[in-house]
Amino acid sequence: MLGRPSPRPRGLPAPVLLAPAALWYAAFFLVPLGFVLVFSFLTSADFGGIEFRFSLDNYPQLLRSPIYLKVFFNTLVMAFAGTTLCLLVGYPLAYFLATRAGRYKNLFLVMLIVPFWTSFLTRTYAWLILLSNSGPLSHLLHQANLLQGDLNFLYSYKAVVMGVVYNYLPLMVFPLYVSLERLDKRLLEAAKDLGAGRLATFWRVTVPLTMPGILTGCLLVFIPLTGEYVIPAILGGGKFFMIGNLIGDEFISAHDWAFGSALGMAVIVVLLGLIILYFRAARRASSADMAL
Amino acid sequence: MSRITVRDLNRREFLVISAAASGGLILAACGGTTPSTGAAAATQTPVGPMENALSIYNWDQYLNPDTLKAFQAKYPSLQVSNATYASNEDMLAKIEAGAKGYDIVVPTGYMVEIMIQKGLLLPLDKRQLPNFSHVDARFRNPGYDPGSAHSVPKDWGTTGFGYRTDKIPAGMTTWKEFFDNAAQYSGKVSVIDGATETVGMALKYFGYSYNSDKDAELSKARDLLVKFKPHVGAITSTDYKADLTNATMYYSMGWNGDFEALKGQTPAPPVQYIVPKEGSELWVDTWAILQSAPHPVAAHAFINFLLDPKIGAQEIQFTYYAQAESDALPLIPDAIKSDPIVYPSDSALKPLETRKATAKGQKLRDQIFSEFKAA
Repeated sequence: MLGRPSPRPRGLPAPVLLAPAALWYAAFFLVPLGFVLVFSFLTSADFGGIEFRFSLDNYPQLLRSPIYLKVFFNTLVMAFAGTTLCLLVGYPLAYFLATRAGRYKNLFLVMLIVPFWTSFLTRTYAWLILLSNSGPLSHLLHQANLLQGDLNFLYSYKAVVMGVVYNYLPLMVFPLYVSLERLDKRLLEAAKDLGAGRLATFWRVTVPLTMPGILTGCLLVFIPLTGEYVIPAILGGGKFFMIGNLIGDEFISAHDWAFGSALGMAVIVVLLGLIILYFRAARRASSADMAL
Repeated sequence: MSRITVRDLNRREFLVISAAASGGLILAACGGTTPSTGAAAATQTPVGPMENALSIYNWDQYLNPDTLKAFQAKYPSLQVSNATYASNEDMLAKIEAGAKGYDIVVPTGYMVEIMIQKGLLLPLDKRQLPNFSHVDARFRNPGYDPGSAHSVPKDWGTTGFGYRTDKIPAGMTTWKEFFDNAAQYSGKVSVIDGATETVGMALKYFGYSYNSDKDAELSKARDLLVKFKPHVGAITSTDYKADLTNATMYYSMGWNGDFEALKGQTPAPPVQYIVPKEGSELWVDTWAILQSAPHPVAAHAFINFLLDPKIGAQEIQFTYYAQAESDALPLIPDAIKSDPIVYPSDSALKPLETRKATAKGQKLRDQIFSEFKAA
């Protein structure tokens, strides 16, 4: 893809440039990951903690109760649903930003970034206040006679979905915005000249050309979402469980580090599998586009 | 029927509220007052200088802010910090995961025993605890910590549940109703966020021992909890007071003092606390110092301060839990000390059990509880 050979780099050699990041990841990612892998093959000590005795019991435990598989399944459903909703909400927004926002574009972009200046935890707790049965939303709806009785929105599946879309939306919008911004507008004119309607232009030109943004956005939302812990813990009231909550619980409350580690490894394996499938599908999709 | 023996042994330590009548009997049962804290005290180094800080790891809302103020007034150079946890198991997990810097913890009796086994608690230096003399004899040599070598009683109470009398006018008296009525009040019932309590009460539903370690019994408790789960409105050890006050919940599992505290609110919500007929838990919470405590001298000073009957009387007006010092009784308002919710009668204490944990039982409870939460 590179049009010209890159000039011989000058200055610091590559190993020096890579060393800080490599050391950081080795110490704070690979080593802890190694611990988790090793722990998943050890035994839980009496009254919790870990005992250095080899065991293969932790992985079969995943199947001990259908409940663990259900949590896995729920997590994936939530991740798919959250990603899809983010895409459906985010794409029009990114499209607007890239094509219609005009001189207010930067203002809108700043508005998307500003929430990040406040802690994620604080923002999630803020929803607790806004959506509670005695909160402002409930009050407004009562005033407008749109609601009788309790709002009962918090501590439910829908509250978690709402929180997920709210929190992850910017991760979807930014890559979409970048690819829509770079979209060569002349191609759209060409499509029009060649007789394509608006919908056809969108589906056959805009969407395929912004596919890299869509793929990146979906990945950026999907992966952290499968490990989500805070939103279900707060907005789900500890009742709607995702796999992150289950792992956290195994470590913090049930105190079963061996089983918790096995759960963690299982998530990593499942996610890796999904990501490989995803890239395969993505490659196939983009080569299909080339053929068009 | 071995469980009954275990139960009796445990109960014996706390059963007698009329200390005068039965005190001697209890002392005899405990093998007399052995004042020795053992060789540990004898070989202990002289008391070091007071440190400049103290860190308390406690349950939420479990220390009167006035007490803390008074303590800081007495030791102005101490920087006191507070952190909270929701269950004994949470606390143990955090300490074992290597949480450093805490001095004081507040484990329940059975957890004291576990923490002693794990070597997590510092043997107490009774020379630094002159106020230990105020602790009633029946609390001085508990089964979970012989000779109170590692812990002193903070307060004691019962685990039960409270319901809104306006929402459930027919009333409730049993664990059977607690679990069976959930479908009728779906989403309006909460349980404690602790494996011991919630799994234990499911055992009591079937009339089993709170301390049962039998697989068949625990498995029935598990099935009950999984079936009960869809109707659970919240799993919380801290929010049920507020949830009952604003009728977000109609009934909640909880500890007696919290429900007593509701009575003191204005307006007092129409909530009735009961200890269910099948029996329930009788517990003693304690002050203990961690082996890893960076400020052991300050920690001893704090515990000694809390053992002062005047402070105990102040604590009960905030936490509403019965004190382990009869010397505090004259200083406690009548409304509290004559309330059977706070100081239950002997006959009310009879069907209660104290928790006695085994490694196997604790692990099964943890597993059941995590399944319950995930269900």
